[in-house]
Amino acid sequence: MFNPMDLSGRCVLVTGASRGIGREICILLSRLGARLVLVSRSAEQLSATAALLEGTEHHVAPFDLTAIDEILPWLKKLSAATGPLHGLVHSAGTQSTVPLRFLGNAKLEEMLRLNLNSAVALSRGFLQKGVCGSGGSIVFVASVRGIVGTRACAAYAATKGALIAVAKSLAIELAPDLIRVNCIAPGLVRTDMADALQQQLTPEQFAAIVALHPLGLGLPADIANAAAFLLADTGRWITGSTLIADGGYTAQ
Amino acid sequence: MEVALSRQEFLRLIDGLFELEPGTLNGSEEIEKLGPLDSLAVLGFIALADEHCGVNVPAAAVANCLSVDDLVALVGARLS
Repeated sequence: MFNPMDLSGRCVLVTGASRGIGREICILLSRLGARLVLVSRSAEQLSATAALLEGTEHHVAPFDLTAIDEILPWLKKLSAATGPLHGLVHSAGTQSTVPLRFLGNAKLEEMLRLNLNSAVALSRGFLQKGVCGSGGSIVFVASVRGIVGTRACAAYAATKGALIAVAKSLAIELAPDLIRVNCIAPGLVRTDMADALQQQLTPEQFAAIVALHPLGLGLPADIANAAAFLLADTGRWITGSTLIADGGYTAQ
Repeated sequence: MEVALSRQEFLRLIDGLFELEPGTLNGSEEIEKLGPLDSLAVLGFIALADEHCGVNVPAAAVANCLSVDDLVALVGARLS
């Protein structure tokens, strides 16, 4: 049976691979035949993800992505061990709901560092000679918060909105290298991060957010499907775009 | 290793939460008389507790507080 999202023979690095959306992306990509390079800070949690994958020759690579200056040499050394990468998915990120009055610069910089700065460094690292194979696909997991406004989300929105803007520019800059760069903008997806948000809100507030998703809350698999679509040949002619996967949240 | 905040230092943060002059609150004050703790203020307290004390406080716990001391108690174990 023909599968247009077949990823056999391709090696994809996924950050945030230890849980949630990142983990689900790894699982799906493995089922589509990809070899995975799993990245997050926790070797233990990465091993747990690796145990869920199909296929062999996956690579567990614990790394702290906030060590921005170390990303390029790390990626260069890593790809020497794994072989050239064909795809990069940046799913690692941090979320915090902080009203402006309490948003200190330290918190803003902390979120920018992991959500945005590491994405730019990873992209730069992907471009290094020998790291990416012929062509390639970079996918940033952004958020609908980077598209529409929400109270107490200015910092998070800044990081995710910036990813969307970065993807557009990188798409143009890297097109001659046949490297495509796209974003996925999820709505609220049932993950640990969503659970943490639920704890920060009253039941009425959380129910109001759920009600704003006409198709209900998303599942990590919904975002994994979007990532696979963009990474595979199904995304061959798509670059600089943001695939909104939000159950209709931004359609209103 | 970060040094834990003192009770007095945390009370200063709560002064800021209610937009009061530093040193105003001593803990015995009833929240209701300080002004409504609206949803943004609740999120603000949760952010303070997380950033300064490393404590994840559920919104429901904040809503149940009647006094400033009740707010302090939510992070009490992490204060010096």
